[in-house]
Amino acid sequence: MNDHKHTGSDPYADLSKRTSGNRPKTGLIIIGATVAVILVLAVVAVLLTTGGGDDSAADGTGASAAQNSEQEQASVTVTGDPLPAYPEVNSMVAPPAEDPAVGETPPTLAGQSFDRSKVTVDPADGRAKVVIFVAHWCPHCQAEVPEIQKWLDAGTQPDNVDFYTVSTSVKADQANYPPSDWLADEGWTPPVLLDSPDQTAAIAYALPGFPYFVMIDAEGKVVQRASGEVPIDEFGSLVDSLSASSPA
Amino acid sequence: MSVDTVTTFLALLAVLAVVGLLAIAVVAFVAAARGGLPGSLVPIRDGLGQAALPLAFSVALTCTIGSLYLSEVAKFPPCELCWFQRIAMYPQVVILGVAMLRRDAGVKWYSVPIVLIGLAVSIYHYLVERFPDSVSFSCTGDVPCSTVWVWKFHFLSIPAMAGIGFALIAVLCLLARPSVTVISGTGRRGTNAHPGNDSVPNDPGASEPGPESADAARVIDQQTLETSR
Repeated sequence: MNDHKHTGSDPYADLSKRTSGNRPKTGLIIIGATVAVILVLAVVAVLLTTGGGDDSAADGTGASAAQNSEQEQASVTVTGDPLPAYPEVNSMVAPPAEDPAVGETPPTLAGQSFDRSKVTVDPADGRAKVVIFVAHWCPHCQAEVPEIQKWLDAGTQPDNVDFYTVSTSVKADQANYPPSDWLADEGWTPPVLLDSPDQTAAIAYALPGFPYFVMIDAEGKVVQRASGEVPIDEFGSLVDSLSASSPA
Repeated sequence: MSVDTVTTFLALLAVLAVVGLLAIAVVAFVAAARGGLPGSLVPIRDGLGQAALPLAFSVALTCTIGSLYLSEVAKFPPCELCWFQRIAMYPQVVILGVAMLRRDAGVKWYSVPIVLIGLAVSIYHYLVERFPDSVSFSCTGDVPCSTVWVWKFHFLSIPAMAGIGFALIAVLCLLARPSVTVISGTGRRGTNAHPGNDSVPNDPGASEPGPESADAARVIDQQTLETSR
């Protein structure tokens, strides 16, 4: 470049040399280096996502049924009258005084789990129970499920209360599908009843949103309902009061 | 090629972008504290200034293709907040593409405001994902914006990657400088088209205060003068 020749007389010659000499080369080097790093990252991405696979055995739980998953939805037989609609309340846990379902007998739900084993939620079986409705794509269910499982694992759950899950609103094109993988990953221990594509079970229990909790006492009557994410402390105290009013 | 591989690749690109942004932030901080860029970094700064528009265009293109892949191939339905980010991102491919071809660093006056709006939506979307309870406590029939479709390296979701893309485009646009050889070339064409009208002083990117661009503008002035003589 003839820029070099007029060094000294030209006050901008230095700058001119620096800019015209270095810039195009450094610019190309930066672009080239970026492309090289991106190619390496593409290889890393392929390596990271091929192979692997982890599994652990479980036993007679929602997680083990989920691991042997054969289906994500199944038909549900409903026996009895559906519950009345959930009241419009501001709190997540409907106060019993305002909830028309309290004192009502919910219908019996008979269906299957992921591995086609039979699951029945029978209010008349003489046991107090909590029925938890979850949707795999719902972030509030995704947050609540591990909290409840941690609570169950801590061993604080009363012996005289049973827990059931209903996996409903299954959508294959939505996040966190399939629910069997999700619940297996969370090590979910309560049995899982699969709702039908028409959401038979959810409709029978008048589900207002996800997650949804129905607490049923040993006489088969609803004592409390809750819709939405319930803080685990509150969940614990609801289960404790259900346990206290139920025969050991 | 599985969806997992593609999302992992996009997440790795986002990590690379974060590393680049952090490096630029550190250098900018040091330069501000010292009152000038260390001499050894000046050529890199110059090179980056020249590579900035092609890089910014590539970032916009990658974000757009990635976004279309996630909705059209992976079939993740875009939520409402996703759409607002798309509105801010997609036009950048055209705007920055034209700016790259014209080597027009002044594009920052058009790109950066749009990109910052996109960045604000991304940050809000990320917070909604991280704290779904801040918006609602339960889900109803519709899929909410708080649904997390992709979660990589314990911090990257789709809006996080979009936000990083927006931030990188903004920083690259601000770093872009008219290069000597190139601008004198377009400047010559400009002066041919509009005799007597020097393109450089009209360029807000070049006339911005700052020793680098002022110097470059002077050099261009000189070269333009020389060639037109």
